[in-house]
Amino acid sequence: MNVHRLNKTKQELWAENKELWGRLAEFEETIRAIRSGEVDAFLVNDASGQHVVTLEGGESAYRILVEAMNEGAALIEENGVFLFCNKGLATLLNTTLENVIGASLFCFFAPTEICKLKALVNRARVDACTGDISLPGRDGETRTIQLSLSPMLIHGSRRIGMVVTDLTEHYKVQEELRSLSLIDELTGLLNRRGFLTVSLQTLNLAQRLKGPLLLVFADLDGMKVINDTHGHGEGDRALVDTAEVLRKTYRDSDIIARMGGDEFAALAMGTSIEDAAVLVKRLQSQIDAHNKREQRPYCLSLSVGVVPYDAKTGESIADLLARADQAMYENKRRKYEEAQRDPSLGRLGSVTPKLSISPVSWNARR
Amino acid sequence: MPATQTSRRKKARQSSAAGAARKKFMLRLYVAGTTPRSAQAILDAENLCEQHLGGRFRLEVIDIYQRPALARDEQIIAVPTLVRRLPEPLRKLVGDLSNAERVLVGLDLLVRDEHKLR
Repeated sequence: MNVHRLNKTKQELWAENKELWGRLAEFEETIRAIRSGEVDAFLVNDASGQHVVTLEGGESAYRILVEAMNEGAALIEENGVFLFCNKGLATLLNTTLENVIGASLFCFFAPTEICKLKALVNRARVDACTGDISLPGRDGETRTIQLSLSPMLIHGSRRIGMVVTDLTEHYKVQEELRSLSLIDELTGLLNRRGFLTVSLQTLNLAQRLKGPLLLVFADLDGMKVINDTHGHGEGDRALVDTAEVLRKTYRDSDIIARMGGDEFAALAMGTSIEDAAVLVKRLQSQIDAHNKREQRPYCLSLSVGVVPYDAKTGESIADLLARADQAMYENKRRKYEEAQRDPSLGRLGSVTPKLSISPVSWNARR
Repeated sequence: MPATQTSRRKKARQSSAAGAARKKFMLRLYVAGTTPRSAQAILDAENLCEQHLGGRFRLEVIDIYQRPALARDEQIIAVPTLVRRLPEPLRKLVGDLSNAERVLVGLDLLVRDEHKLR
């Protein structure tokens, strides 16, 4: 019995001894691998759990990639303090790397953007999110950047990964494209498409507010004569002059457009048909002042049709334009007939010597 | 040595070798994300298994960032570490896996050819 127990104990000791030797060999092997630089990460256990600690050599691959990115990249704490930042982001923030690491993200933005930025960072604690933020640029110009934030767990700590893309040029090109399609290149006024786009919103607003609205449709008299006599360069100048006169006549809030050829339109908010006479008179004064000042070989003359918008009927902009166009043509025909009856008035838009221009005649339709 | 005894030993060795040839190795490689050594260790381990274990293996790659609990349970300290889980006893090899001979000996993965044993 005793011999049997002794044998068993011996066997247990041998097994235990063998296991210990095995563990020791394993440990020695690990030490050797670490000393030889064959490992690049460790699993560290402490009170808060397991952390992966990566050696600097292991991080180098990530760093090379992150530094090569065109976008800005950073790692921030949940309170916004930078733990890591690439050169791209430091450049975008208009500072050096040394000034970024350890600083707060919120230091680099205008006070007006802080609220939006804090909301983004708060959201990024639990979920990936993206937002556009304005950033004061080096040259005083405001840049628009896109922040893409996502929560990360690094070495057991909660962090936020951040990728920053500069969208300033993107938006600039987008704006240019938009302008090209809505703005008349010669006069800088809205083109027909631009007018229809913007006036639609104005009409909706007038309908909702039940406010008065007046559409003025104007046609440059004698455009063909100016082109034929003085060339198309002078014709273009007459169009630019007309646009300038219209700009000076109407308020900045009014919508002025070149509808095509020698036709112009202006949509005046808060102006009723009772104000039409005043509006036309103001237009005439501006034309007179222009003709006196510029001393062109011809005088500008406009035929105008004025129509009010009836919010009750919910008339479309196309119908409103058609009515204004008709009113303008009636006015032009009347001017032509007057000129035929009284040759002293001269042909419309005729040239040298300056014709005694008829006042802007207009026709109002309710 | 008597001829019968030699013959018995030879047979026992042949039987053991045949068993070794049939046995399947369960290996687990612990890595840390895509660090250069981890990425290289994955390639080395796969090459070694394909070339020397010819289909008699199952290799699992564990990322300690994603599965730290597994690494803790297996008392992994540093990565890359290749663990032979089966057949028992459990064996570990830490570090460089590019030297196939070192890995095969270190984890006792050598499958002896039968003709060499006769």
